[in-house]
Amino acid sequence: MTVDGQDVACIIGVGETDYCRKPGSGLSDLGVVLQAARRAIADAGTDPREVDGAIAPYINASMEELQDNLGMRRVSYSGQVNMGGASPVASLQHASLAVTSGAARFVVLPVGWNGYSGLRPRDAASQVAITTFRKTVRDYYRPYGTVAPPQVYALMARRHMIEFGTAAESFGAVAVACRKHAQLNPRAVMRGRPMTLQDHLDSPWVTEPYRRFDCCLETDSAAAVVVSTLATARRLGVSSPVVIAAVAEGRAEPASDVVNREDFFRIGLTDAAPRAYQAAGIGPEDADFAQVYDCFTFEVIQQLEEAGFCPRGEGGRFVRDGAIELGGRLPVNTHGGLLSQAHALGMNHVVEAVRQLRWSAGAAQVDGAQVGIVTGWGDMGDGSIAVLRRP
Amino acid sequence: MSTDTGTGSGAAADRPRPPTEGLAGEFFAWHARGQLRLQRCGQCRRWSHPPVLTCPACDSTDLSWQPVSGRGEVFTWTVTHHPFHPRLTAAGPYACVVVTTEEGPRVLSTVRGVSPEQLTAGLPVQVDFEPVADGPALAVFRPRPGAERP
Repeated sequence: MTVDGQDVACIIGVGETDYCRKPGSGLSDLGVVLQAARRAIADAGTDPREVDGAIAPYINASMEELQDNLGMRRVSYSGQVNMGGASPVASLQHASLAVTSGAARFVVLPVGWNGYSGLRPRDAASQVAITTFRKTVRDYYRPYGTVAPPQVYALMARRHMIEFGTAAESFGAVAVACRKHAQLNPRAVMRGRPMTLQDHLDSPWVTEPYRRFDCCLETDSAAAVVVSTLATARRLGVSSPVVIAAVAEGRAEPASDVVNREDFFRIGLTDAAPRAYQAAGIGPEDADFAQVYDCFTFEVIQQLEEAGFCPRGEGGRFVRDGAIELGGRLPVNTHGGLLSQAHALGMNHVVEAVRQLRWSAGAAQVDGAQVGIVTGWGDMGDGSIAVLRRP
Repeated sequence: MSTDTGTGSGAAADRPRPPTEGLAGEFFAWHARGQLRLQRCGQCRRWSHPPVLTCPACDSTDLSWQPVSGRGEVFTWTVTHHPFHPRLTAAGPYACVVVTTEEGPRVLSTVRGVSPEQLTAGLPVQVDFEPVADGPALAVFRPRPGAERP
């Protein structure tokens, strides 16, 4: 099964742990990663012993641990992507290249953590500074008390308010849309806990201009997908493969510091999105939905702008009046996102996109969805984007 | 609330210490000598902050710490309420401020002598230096007297 004579990569399996806060997963960090991986492999209709490739998550599980615990016997391709929360979506590019080149037949991509019951990501710089984000925070931000991601990103949100008049009500519109979608999702931690715009505006400050309800959840959660080719999927009788039409990644300049960018709002996605659209032969207007990495509300607004859904500076208006809710012009985070489903490091966004394109998203289904977009955001505004579509 | 930003000199000893090693250590070591210096390329004159080992514009390794005027203006800021670092929030919410220097590069720092509610984009500021217990020193900023507010 080919497109223009070439086999194409597709997602043939998805898996998730139960998403929870209290009392916790009852598993280790590695344990949740393995559980999601096994579920994705089972969903793909294959066996871990047949899986010959893996992109190890950027935290909590090494290739060796995956191999030894899953019983993978013939790993011929492995890798790891270090772009923080942009890693899961960026990993899809590595997996696609691996399966279409023949380096591997099945590649599993699991990520996860006990983000609630385990080490809670409070002071990024107090952990060992193994990433550039942590090194920059440790060396240049932390001496002044900027220690955690919501502080770093709030600097960008504030400047957007200054330059474009973006209002707290727009941040709230993102939070409310995610919460509304979570009410439709049995796997969402915030199901049964609806929220109004006023609830958002009344929530306490975390780091101005971010309030509590501008911030993603801390959850125990893991998610995984399995990538193969469409030809292999057809041969195996996989019922509803989802084609990876294009993936792209990018970093802003300088890559290691958010405050010194000549164009302050330029992020990795700014460069990555046009490349992805060109490779997929579509534009943002063709997307039936977008699952946008929502570590904080403003990041959704900024990514919608930089991914070309609206001009820069217009994002605050774009998200208002239900436009990003189901039934609106661009449904965003139909599963509830990191803000209201769970913080599975953004792989839950990929899983939801697959469900939408399998037409199995339940009450949150976008009718007749053909093309969807998933973004990742990590560290210093590193960006990734995938265009997924039905075969 | 005081007219300070919550991490006033009384809290200085409790603050996270600036680094003492590597290029970051060199940056803060100048603060202990009462100077704000930023790295500049001797060949193409490009400023780099954070500092680098090779100039990304011209590939030169002729990089050195050059003094800057210490004048700048507020570009953006946050006010932290959540106790990410409990010793810092003990005295109340505090501001972290990005200052665009006259020379161009921006530095993440904080401001003294102005409360978080009084911060505005474009506020003219001037560098000042604060000792840190067991550490080099911190460059902080104060509103620039006589400068015109935006």
